[in-house]
Amino acid sequence: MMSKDIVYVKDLVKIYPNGIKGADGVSFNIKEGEVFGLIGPNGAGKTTILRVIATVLQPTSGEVMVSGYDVVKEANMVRKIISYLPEDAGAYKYLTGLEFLEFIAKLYSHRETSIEKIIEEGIKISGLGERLKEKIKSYSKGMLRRLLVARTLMVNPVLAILDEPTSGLDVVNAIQVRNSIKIYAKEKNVTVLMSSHNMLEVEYLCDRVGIIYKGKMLAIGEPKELKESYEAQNLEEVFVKLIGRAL
Amino acid sequence: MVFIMFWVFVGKELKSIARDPKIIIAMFIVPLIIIIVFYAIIGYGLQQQITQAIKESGTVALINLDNDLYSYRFISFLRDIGVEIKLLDPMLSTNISKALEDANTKILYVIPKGFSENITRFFPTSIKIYIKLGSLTIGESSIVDFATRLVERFNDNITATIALEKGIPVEFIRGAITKESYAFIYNKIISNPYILTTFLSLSSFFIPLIVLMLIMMASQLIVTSIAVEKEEKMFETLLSLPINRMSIIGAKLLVSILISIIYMSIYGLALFSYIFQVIGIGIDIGGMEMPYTFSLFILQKDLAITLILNSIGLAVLMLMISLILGIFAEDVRTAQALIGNIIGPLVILAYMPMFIDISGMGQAHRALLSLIPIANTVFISKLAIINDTVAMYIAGLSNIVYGAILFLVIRKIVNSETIFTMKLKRFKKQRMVEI
Repeated sequence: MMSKDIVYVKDLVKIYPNGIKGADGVSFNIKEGEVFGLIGPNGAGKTTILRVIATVLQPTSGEVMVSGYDVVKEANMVRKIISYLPEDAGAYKYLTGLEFLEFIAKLYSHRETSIEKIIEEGIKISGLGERLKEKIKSYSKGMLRRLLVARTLMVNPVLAILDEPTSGLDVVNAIQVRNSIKIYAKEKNVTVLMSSHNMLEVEYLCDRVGIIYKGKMLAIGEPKELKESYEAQNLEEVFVKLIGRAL
Repeated sequence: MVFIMFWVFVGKELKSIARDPKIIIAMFIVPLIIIIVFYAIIGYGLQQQITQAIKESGTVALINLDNDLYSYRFISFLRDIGVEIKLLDPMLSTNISKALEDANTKILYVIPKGFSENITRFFPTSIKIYIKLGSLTIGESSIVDFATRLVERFNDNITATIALEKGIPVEFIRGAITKESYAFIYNKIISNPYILTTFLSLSSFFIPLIVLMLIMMASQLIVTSIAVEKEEKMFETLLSLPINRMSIIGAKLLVSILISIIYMSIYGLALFSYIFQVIGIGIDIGGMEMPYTFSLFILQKDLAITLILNSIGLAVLMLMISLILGIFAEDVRTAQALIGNIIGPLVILAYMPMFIDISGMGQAHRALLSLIPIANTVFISKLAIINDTVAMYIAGLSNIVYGAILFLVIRKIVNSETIFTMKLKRFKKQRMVEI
């Protein structure tokens, strides 16, 4: 049975006001329930693409649709079905973890029963237990990131967009976050679009990857397929070979 | 649904502000300390000092070099009103310091030789008053006033007595010629123009001060509130959430205005009442004059309407300016610096009307002046006096128009990626500098 496209990107170009090109004719699609990874070096354009899909930025040209809604013309509809976690995200430090989850839950739902269920899900995903009753300003970096991943996934979005979800985390917290993403994506059939520098993480989590360099999509495919096609041991080698060709 | 999300955000804002120690300290604890210190402690201290000064003034020293009818009358007069007198050796008149030391009083009167003779011959004469100051406190200044008033009262007493003896009415001696002043302004005659000019002077100073305090407060809060979203790294997330962006702005505006009103109501009025009490400034307009003077304003419907419109417009305009500054600021420190650098100088506009005489201007010039935001708030009362209704309504509506224009600009920015890229542009510049 053919899965429908949750994300459809065609010839996306994004040029910033200062003339820098964040995306240069990028095209890809993501199927329902898929975990798709964008990988590439710093400044490749990964975050730009995620921001366009998350309706934070608008494309200069090209077509970007999320579940059939245009990210420019129907941005409000897109925001209702996505949940975005920026790389450099924070939370309101004077709220408790629980209050923060409740605040987010109320923005996605208005029925008491649904709000309670969302919060319960958030508590489960975060794994922070009693610490959720404390103010966020007392949280460590790892705890904060776990809270943020929880608030991103708990609302059961059609598309979860995660920019470097384990960035700056220690091994224990990184594993916890990765597992949350994997379990949640499979259990709830949530489509996930994520970016990462960590090739191991990408291979562990992603069904398919897109390799980006200087705003251009160099290759798309399953990690295993890409390694076979480019006769590489890992995705890093694939990347290096692709860049060599691009140059 | 938009409404519900708006209130969800308002709730979050109020919680965050209520738990932010910086805001609690700056907005409530510090002003509370200032009020307690100035109003209660210093006010109480002042009260104590004045009481003490009055007590000390109850005994005076006196050197009588005259020893004649009217010097004795002065002494009797003082005793009759309850002042205790220590009569000193006339030799001490050449050593005032010793005289005061020996007497141990704050006040020393020296009645010169020839005092009574001068009065008998209707020649002006004098009594020397020496006040011993020690602590140089506010209380001691009341002693100077007290000592002087005693002599003035004796003067009134003597002139009244002499007038009666000579068959001259006392009122004639006290003030042969009185004055009756009127102001004539654009077909209206106003008695006692001092009342009007006092009112205008005070309102030119205090009204802008009160209005601007309120607006500065709200502006600081709104600009900080938006900058905090960036500092707490929630800004990018907020832009992707299913909440109307203008609801976010509206919630922040509402909370900022609410807190500012509470702040001003409690502390602003208390502080001003303290200032008025200490300085002793009041609009002494008397029972009969007040209704007439104020009726000119109260009954002027146009003035009331235009003042209300102008004030609302001014608040909207200043808040819109603050919003724009908040959107561009990278962090709280930048936001507050922007407010100080831009809103601060605008305050000067509020005092422009103090120095401009609009009565001699043509209607076109007055209309142009009415277009100046902030200044037009104070111009309105002057325009009302000269009955320029057109300029009043221009002043009343112009701020609203400016605020509406800025609102539309803000709405466009907020609903586009500009709200994010303005920040992003600076961020990239900083990164390039670091490389």
